[in-house]
Amino acid sequence: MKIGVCFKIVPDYEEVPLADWDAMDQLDLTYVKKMYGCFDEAALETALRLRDSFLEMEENVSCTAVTVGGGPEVLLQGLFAAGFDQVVTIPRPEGPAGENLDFLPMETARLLASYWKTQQPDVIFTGRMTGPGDSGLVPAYLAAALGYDLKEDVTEAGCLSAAMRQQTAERGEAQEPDQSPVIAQMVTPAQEPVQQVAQVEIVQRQGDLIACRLVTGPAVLVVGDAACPNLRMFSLKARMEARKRKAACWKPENTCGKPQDPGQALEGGARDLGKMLIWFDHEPREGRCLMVEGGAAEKAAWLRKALSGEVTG
Amino acid sequence: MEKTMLIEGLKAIVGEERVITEEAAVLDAAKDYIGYRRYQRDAGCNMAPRATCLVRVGSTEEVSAVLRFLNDNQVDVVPRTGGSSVTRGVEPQEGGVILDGSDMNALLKVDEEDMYVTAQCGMPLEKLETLLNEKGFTTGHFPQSLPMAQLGGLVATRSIGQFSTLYGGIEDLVVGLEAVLADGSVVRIKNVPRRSAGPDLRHLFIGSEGMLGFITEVTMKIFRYQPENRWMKAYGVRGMNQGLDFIHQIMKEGYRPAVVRLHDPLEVREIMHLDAPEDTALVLLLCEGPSRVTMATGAGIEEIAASYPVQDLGSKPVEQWLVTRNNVCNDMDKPIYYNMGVVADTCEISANWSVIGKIYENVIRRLHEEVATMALCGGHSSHSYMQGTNIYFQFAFMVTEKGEKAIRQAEEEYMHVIGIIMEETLKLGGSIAHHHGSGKYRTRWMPQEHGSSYPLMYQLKAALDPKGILNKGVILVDREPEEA
Repeated sequence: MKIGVCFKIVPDYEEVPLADWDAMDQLDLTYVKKMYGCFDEAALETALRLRDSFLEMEENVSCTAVTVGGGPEVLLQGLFAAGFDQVVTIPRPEGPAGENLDFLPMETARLLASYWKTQQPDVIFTGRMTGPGDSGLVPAYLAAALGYDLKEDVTEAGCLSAAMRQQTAERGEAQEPDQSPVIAQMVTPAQEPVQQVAQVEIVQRQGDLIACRLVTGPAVLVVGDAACPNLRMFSLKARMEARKRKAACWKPENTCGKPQDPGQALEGGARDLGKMLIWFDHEPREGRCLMVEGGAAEKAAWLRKALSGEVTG
Repeated sequence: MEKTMLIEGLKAIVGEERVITEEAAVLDAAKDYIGYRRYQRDAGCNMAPRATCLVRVGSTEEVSAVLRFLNDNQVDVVPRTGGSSVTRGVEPQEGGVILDGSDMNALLKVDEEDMYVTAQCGMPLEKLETLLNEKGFTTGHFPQSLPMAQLGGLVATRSIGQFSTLYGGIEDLVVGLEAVLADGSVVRIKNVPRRSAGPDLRHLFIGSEGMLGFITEVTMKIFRYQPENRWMKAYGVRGMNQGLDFIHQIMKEGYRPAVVRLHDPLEVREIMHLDAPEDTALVLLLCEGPSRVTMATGAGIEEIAASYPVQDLGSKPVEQWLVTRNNVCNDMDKPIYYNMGVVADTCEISANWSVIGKIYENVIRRLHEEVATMALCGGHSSHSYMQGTNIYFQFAFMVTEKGEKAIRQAEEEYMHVIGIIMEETLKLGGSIAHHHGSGKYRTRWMPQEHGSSYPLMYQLKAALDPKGILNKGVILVDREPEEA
């Protein structure tokens, strides 16, 4: 099982004095505390928890964390101490693409994808977004560029229990666990996945809806309001050991390439892209109001029909 | 005393609605923020002793009547106001009473001629400071607990503020006070700039942690509020020793910046996450007051800095510290550390310049060597004097056990860490409590802290609270009957 995580190191904007925001064009953030993007931190911890669950099953598992742009060494080394096998930094491209990378999710995804293509991880975790104001589009672009399945709003992930494996093996294919009251949904990739090697149980939360799904890799798992949002603590000993290690720097062949055409990437077969397309195309909606006569039972029956499309008037 | 009679007796004094017996409210009033108690609460296990009830007093007369009643019936009582304790100082005795003065929160007088303010014990410091700022004044007292703390508790615990190098600790700021003794008698200490009329009786109550009386009213000095005149500067220095030497020099030369802070390399790297060379320590300096004084002090500091291999980091790190310095109060009730599987806290000590560096080194070395679960340990100096400074150790250790064992491990390992800090401090003649007080967790080290003067504490207790009802467990080690 190869687990990957994409993360970004950002300034803690909450620690910027209000007065400094007035000088936006000259905002100096060098003195501001740096941290993992909050959702990325949750993704890092969720990935480690998935790794732990594989280790408990005595399975081979590796965990790699990748960031574009790097950050303070202490934060990169902290990932080794937390349990990552590899930490990789991808330098920002030179020129305008690098300078404006924070506003070029497609380019960021391209850089990340170029690295992951060399590694072929089974699952890649990302945070929902880096922070306030971020487009939140990198995960979808990344999935598109890799041809991976995309699962959003992931809160937890774990390897299949032995019983679950037997159950799915008996069914002959990857199926949803039949666990009430969770909602199960068959995952059918739109195109042949790059490599079907791993199955991961995930929990997704969208509002009040909690779904437990069985995901057959490869997939990009986008972590939202994770069950454990903070990266784990580690011992002083592990911290000292980690100080001896350095993050690897990986440079793609084309670091100053022109950002790809979004449409091109979208043809990659990513799943769940409907949501993302809202960003580009606004479908006009209209609302109607009508009075339903009758008692509660009659109103409920009418509503059921309306929701199932049987009533149009 | 029988529980029902106790509650009825108290209701007869302060009224039914001011005697609270609901378990949640009583436990909340006893809530203490010492690291292992936070962990235990977050784990769903409140280990604090259960008081019979919480009494919310509204006047000095009520405090007096309640204490007289409790004294007559030999009922244990713990005074409280803001509830920001981190030493188990507000935890009651099992079956005792919590006497809460936070409703006594009136501002009584702002005297702009004599430059003092008088308020009741429950006045929140942050509110008082805001009110004074609007009038162009400041208390000059800014502890990290500012958003929570109230005057009575601040005086009782011998609090200190982040601007202490200029304004001093609370002991330098209290002009006079009113307190109620265990037998209900009310004592007032008048407001004068200074006097030579015997021992200073204010100090019977400042830092007494409620074991000698209940502070009901406080008069504090006020100062002109002139933030526009501030001079701020941060320096990067090579390691803690060079940093201590640098700030020592500033103090020795006679400069009085309001803020003198030195954060060790661990805090710089692991807590502030600054991208700095591995052994970088950070000095934060802030001068306040009349502009001529602040500019002259700043110039003097810059002259000293020029003789050290320090890196001038400008004013931004200080400005940032100013706006974030009390953020910790926002997270006190969030299970952040628990979710990370750690117990985290601080512990402050002080010592003279000649030994403080050695104490720091010894503590850090021993924590590294002897606490296998240690995840983080470092510290900073935040209150400096001509003679020495404090070290505020920060630590976090991992709870490796599960269930009930984890609850026990949190407390045992915590006290193991504290034990190391206490031992190393005492060994070199430092003080084991710079500004949080003894509380109930440091009491066991108080005999060594005070040495031959310690018996005086018992004599004071015997004189002011002969039945021993007030905040049992703080400062005084329980003695065998024949010793008492």
